[in-house]
Amino acid sequence: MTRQRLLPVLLFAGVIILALIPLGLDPRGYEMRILCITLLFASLGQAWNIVGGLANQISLGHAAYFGIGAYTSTILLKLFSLSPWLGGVIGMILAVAFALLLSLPTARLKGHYYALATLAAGEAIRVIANSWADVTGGPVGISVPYLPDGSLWMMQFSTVLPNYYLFLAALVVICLVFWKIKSGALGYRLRAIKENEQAAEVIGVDTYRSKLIAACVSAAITAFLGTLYAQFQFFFDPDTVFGVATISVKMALIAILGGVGRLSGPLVGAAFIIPMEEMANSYFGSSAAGLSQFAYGAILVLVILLNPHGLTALFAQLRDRFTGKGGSHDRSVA
Amino acid sequence: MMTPDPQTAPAPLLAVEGLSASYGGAWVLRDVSLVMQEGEFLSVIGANTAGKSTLLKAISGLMPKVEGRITFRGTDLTATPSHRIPSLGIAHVPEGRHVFPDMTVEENLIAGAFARGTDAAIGDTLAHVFDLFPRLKERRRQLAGTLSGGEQQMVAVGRGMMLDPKLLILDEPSLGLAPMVVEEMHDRFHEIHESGVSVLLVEQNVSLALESAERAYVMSSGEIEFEGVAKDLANDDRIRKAYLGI
Repeated sequence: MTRQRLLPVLLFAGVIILALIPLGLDPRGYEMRILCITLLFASLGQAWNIVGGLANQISLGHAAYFGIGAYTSTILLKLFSLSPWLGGVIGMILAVAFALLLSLPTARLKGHYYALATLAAGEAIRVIANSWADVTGGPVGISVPYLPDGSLWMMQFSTVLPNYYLFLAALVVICLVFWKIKSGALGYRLRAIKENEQAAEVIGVDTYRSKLIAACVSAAITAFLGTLYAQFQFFFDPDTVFGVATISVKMALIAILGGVGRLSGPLVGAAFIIPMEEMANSYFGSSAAGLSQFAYGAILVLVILLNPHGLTALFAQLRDRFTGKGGSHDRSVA
Repeated sequence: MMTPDPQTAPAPLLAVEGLSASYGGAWVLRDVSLVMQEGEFLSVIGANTAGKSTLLKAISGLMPKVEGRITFRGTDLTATPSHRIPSLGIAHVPEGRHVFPDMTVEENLIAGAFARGTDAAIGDTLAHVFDLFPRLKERRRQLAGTLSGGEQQMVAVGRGMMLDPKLLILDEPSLGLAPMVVEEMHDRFHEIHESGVSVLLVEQNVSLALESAERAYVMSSGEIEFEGVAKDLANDDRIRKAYLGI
């Protein structure tokens, strides 16, 4: 019981610490960029967690939403000088439209079938983005127009410090959304579906609608994170924002490694995966291109074999062992 | 209760008329008709694969494609999506129990009241279910997946009762349970029936089904063979030969 009250305090302290970290760092430095990316992927993992964790639909196509968000706001900014805030909202709407379209053939699929269908859908979008060069710029990529006098409204800044706080704010909001869904009526329905879909139906849960709502919320959030990413990176191509390994699998991996369906899961997962990946990249450089994809696969297999509930569950089990508490399967751990 | 004269009888609680259903081209229900009055304890018996479970699934809307009509208190169930059916007052306790394994007993039960919306009386119903199954009250904080088969069956029935249903549908509630537990379950079913809930029971244990029910339908190969007062059927030669092995 005390843990329930401790959790918000811990999270609040965590936010304060994260808000203070940049004060000791070079605002244009490499470390800041890694921290930004870590926060971004924690958010992405949490967005995925709504579908993959709460609704138990293992999506491997979330890059579609991410890329739709990144491209929509960037193209609108280029063509009409539209603020990325508005472009991002339009991207969210388009992502939801795509999620609805995708749900028509996939919502009744389960397990591997759903994963494969979403994987294929994500890849289809990537191919379209690569070949539709008139709009997207094709494989050469697209640049966000540089505005010398940056502002919050245009989401452009002279250092990455404001980006960092934007990412942090996004993470807090997304965690709140996740928690609100998880602890609310929809979360209860999704949990019933996850545990036994047939039983959920006989007690009157609209399983199709519940999964669809989760998918749409997750898609919208992911799209807006795509916009934030575009305004942070200034340049991207279809293979980056629509990539299976760079986005789709990474989102899932972060949530699964940390602890799928748990609030703290993607936070732990991103804090582990992103810095590790950056270190590996700077250490091995281009001599080991593609190593990270290999590592993702290996990590995923290890987690599923050794501890399917992820690192946060592992921590809880270790703590229980040291404090001599039984019942290692305490589900109340967020 | 005798079968009432259709001219003077009140509208039935449940009426199945000319119901047919198939799985991938193979007919599992053929022109099934069944009538159930308010307050009745009805049983459907028959061998495995006779179509009993399919009939129950069709009533609860879990069979997507059926032909024929199913009406419950005047509402056409074949035109009602499955998730709306519980809110009409039909609680289905599925074969194989299907509890939510990682939810506590109490969470399972509260989930059963889901279709009632924000009804203030859920606490009262919970107390009523705990009176019915005191064992569940003792284990209210335990994960349902860690319970014994009999206890899980109590959770499944209790979850159904949380709907405060007009009709309780029980699909093979004694499957795989110890004889003593089975008897206890049937005592509870009587209690539930006496409290005013109509009960539709599918049971492979024919003697038990005929002991519990007032009236029964006998199914075979997807069709209704005959129906009658349960006590009479228990002495019927056809039943005794085919199902009771006497």
